[in-house]
Amino acid sequence: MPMPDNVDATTPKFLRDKYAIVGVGETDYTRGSTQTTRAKSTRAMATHAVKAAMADAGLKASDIDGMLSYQSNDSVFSPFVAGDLGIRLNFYMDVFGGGSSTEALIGIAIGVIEAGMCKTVVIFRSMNGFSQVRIGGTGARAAAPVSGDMLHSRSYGWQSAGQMFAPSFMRHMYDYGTTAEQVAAVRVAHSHHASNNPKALYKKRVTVEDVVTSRMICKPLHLLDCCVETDNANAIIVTSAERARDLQHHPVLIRGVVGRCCKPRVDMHYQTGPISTVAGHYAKEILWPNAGVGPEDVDLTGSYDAFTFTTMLQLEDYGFCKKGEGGAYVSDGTIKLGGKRPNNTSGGHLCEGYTHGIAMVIENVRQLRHDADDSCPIGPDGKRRHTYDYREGGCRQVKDAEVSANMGWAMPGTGSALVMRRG
Amino acid sequence: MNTSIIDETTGRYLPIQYPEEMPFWKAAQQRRLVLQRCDDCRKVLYPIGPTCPHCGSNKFTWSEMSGRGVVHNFVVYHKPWVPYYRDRVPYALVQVQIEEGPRLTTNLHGVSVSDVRIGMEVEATWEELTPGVTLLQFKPRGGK
Repeated sequence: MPMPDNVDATTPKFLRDKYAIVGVGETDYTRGSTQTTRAKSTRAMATHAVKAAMADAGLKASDIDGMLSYQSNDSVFSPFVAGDLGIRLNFYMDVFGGGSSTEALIGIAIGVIEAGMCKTVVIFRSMNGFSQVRIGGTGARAAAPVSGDMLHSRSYGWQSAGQMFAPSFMRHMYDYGTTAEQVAAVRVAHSHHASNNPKALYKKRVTVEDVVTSRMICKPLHLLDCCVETDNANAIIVTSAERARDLQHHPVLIRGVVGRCCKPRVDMHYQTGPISTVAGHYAKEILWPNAGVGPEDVDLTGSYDAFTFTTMLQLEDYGFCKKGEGGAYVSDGTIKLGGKRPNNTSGGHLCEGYTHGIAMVIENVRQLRHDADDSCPIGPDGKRRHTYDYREGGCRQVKDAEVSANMGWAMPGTGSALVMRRG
Repeated sequence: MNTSIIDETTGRYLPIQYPEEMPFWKAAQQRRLVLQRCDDCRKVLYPIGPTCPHCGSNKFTWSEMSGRGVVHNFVVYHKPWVPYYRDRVPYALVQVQIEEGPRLTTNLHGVSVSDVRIGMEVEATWEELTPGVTLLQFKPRGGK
């Protein structure tokens, strides 16, 4: 596709399209207690996911020499996974992080390959997000040491992620008149997408009424405004576009990345700037010039949906609509399959499963290959015959998808982003 | 120093009090709100920290605050995470913007959760958690 090249890029344009995602893979999405008596180890799950991504790419163990992962002191480290798969590493790094990691690590992967440290990098996230370390601060996390500005917060009963992020939505409602019904439309859209995703944990389609009548967790958040916690591992493989051309799938090229871009202060007392503005406000100034495209060029998005409103706030601050109009944008049909720019066509974290963002990148890779793994029939050439009929249980491939944007979320003050295109 | 695990007597988390924060905690025991005012740019720092984020100075004076502010934002918790809150949900978490500038996260005492509003005028009040720890809270101005 034609790409404008008269954009003033802040970072070298020569990296655009030079690297590609060539393999993706994952385990099943499970909630351990209902599937087995005991959750699988993060090591076993990571090994399975990396192996699946290698098979997807058509790469052997000897073709992989770099590995990156992110975790919250809740997962296996790269060298063990590499060892299990017979991979000898020239580079690895396991970093601390959650939902803003995948896009940032893709940037790091490009950097280390560019620096000559290795040639092909696997990125994985393996987590027992339901069975072991849950995000809400129950289980292992409840006894974890509290530090930083949490020192003062905990005594006020200020605890889980949803509760700590919710102020950004509450203030958005106050500043712009956004409603609970508008962000509920995010859950509705993602549930429709999940109903066409055989992998999704929650495949049932829901209505706006289902969301706003579900029990209140933290006003303004209802239960169905919150994502599902699951146990799973996911992996993606990054290498040069040149190597990508010899591999199994149509390459998906990386146009630009932003890694953990922050508001001026990220403390959870919301000292800085409007509370209803998130990191995307700053990240967009890097993302679009780097990628050489703008929001209007994007066919589908992966805006992080830890909660319904996180999707809305990011789409707005990255410029998919005017500031303050996010509520209308997510509820007017734009983000649904068949709409102008579908978001999280897998069902996302609200419905497919909880992966700290990596699955949203995997979904967009499959979309840009024109190979979404839905229930459409597979032809004699092994390729799916997409019907573009988005009825329940049907197709979820976005027609002629060429450019995608992913927007990862760590918290209101920190985010990462990625633009990819079909090679 | 306690360890931030849920306190058995109170059923809630007690704040860890680091040495550099002790003027804040000692004043709280006397029911006074003091925060760091930068000696160079005169702005008030919060959260408590080693340098002024506005000008980079590390010279500051612990200064008495008016204790008056406005509810800038709030959310209402319906799920209790620790024993203390089991029969206290729903409860509000507010960001109060005090007259001197910073936003402080606290609870709101002396008002029904359903009556909490952005823009409410509030003032500091104090809650004794243990004989050694008094916690800053806010209440409607002139209220109990």
